[in-house]
Amino acid sequence: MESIIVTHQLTKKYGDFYALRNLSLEIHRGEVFGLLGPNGSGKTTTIRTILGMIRATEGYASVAGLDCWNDSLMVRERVSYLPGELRMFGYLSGYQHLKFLCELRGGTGLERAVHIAESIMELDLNRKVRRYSTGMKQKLALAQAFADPVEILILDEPTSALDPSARGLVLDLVMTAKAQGQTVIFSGHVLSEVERISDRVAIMRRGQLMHVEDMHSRRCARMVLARFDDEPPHEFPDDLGLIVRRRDGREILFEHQGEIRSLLDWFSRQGISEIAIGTEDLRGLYDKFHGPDVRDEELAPVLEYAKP
Amino acid sequence: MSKAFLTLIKRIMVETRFFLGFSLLALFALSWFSIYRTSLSEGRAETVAVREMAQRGELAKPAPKKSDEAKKDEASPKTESSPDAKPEAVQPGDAVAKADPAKDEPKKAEGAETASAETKTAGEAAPPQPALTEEQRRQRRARGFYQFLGGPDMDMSSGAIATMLLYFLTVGIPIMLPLFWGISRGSAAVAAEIERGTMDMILSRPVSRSAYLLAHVITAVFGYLLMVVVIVAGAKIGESFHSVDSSPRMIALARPALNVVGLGLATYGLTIMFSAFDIVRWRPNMIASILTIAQLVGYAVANQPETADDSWYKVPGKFSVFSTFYPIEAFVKGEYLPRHMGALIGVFAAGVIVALWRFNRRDLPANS
Repeated sequence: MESIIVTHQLTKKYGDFYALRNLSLEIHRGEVFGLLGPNGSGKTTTIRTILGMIRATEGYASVAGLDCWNDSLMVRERVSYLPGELRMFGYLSGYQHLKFLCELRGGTGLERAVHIAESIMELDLNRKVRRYSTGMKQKLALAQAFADPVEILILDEPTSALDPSARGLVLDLVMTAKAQGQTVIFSGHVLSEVERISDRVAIMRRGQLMHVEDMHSRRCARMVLARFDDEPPHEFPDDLGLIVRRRDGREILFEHQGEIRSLLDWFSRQGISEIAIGTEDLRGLYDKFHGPDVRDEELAPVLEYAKP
Repeated sequence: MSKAFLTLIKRIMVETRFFLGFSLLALFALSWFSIYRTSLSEGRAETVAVREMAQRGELAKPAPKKSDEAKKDEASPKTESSPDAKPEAVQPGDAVAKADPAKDEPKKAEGAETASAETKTAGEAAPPQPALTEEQRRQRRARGFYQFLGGPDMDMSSGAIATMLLYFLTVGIPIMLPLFWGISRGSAAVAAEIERGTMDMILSRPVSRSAYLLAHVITAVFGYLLMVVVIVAGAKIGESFHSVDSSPRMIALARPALNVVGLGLATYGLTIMFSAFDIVRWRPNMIASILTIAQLVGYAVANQPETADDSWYKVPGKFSVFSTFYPIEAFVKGEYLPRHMGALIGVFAAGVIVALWRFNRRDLPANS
């Protein structure tokens, strides 16, 4: 797949503090790419470096082959951005705000932005922005972001301050954008949302990339918890597609990918007292890197992105 | 000009409409008022008398230097019978700085009020002095006053009087407003936008940082040009309501207005330079204000009366933009205006260039 955003050993240092360290990432055209991590993990720094608002200390970032710092203007012609901490011009009405931002992009997208804001987000665009609630401002900014006729959408915590139904609308809009061929970078804290819409997810910690997960594979993977009557075997047939995740006496947690029938057939010939089959949510993966007991020395960041 | 650039300019104008509007109204009104006051003052006897002195060239002459003998005479007691005991003829303008033909720069009259009669030693009776009439006293004060404010070049025309009234007798408002505007707009350009958090929204669009900053600069310059227009318009419209002896030409009225907005431009250039380095508005405001006050103080120190040209007092004046502010000379001749405006625009341009350089290289902090 073609990569539209590439970072290579991207590093941003403030004095002795690393906001980003050796971030190497490729984001494919047309995918929804989730960025996960706690506050201060480097998500916003990554985004701002891509947008040319921050200059990297080392390494580089490029969008569609354009350098994010030196060709920042051309990069931003291709990108629409929703900031995490939203600030607006309170003295403008909703409509004037949309118009102002559209005119900064040459006047395109106003009609669509108004449609999204009024029909989908149900905003009163005649009201002054300072009279909007936080959620309404977020909706206005989202309407703007989704209306821009661009290749790439970067949404930094787009569902914050939104009610549950509005969150669902946003996720639907993301899927619509993807269907239209746009690439979406979705940075957030709500794992279920990221899990639901992302094609791939990057997990960051302290400015470093810890893991990139393919969500398609993840959705196909199952978790199987089996309790054996007797001592379970130490090895399992390769063709079953089983990976042992945890052993606890006679209880084993497996990750399984592949044909379920042959697996069930094999289990039926073993002495199994209990079996449970499900899927693992992103929480388990996230907790591997950000759980309460995780220590830095136990983790190895991804220094070079390995293509599948 | 691209649509985005015009949109930026429009937004900045909208944001500053109240401050600019009030400033323009105030300048227009004060300019009109100066014509009104000129028309009133032209009817006064002392104005007529001083004008006649100007026509005779007496205003342009330096005050006569006191001979050593005259100084000794003043210092020593004199009896009533002494034929040399002349009354101390004190002219308010006697302490005027000498107009040195060798120097290019005009000098304002200095310390008009500092020359005073020598005090007699205690216990000795002062020689009788011829009594001045009230009229003579008023004329003397007027001469000194006009000479102090206008310098030897003041020609006492209606426009010159109006210029003096506008820039020096309105509590300095026509000088302060361009300075305030410059500091306000300069700090708003970068630091205030970052502090407000709206910089992200603007610069995430395809708008170059240079275009963003230049939109601010162009708006400020446009505001200053409007100030020149309203000052001239105020005077000309005022003239149609209040007749003055000689109608000042528009170009002559525009020259001191350009001089004063030049001060404002220089202040703006310095402020936007500080703003480009900062993330909060109050700091460039504070630095620019301190710098402006320091220059004003330096100018005042440098122009103390009776200081030698090579005195250290003069040094602060060399670094003060106010040393380029000569509105009455600008009105009367405008001979030094190109040089003064060159210096002021030079400061403005240097500030803008540094601001552009810095703004294009700095990181923009995320909103917090």
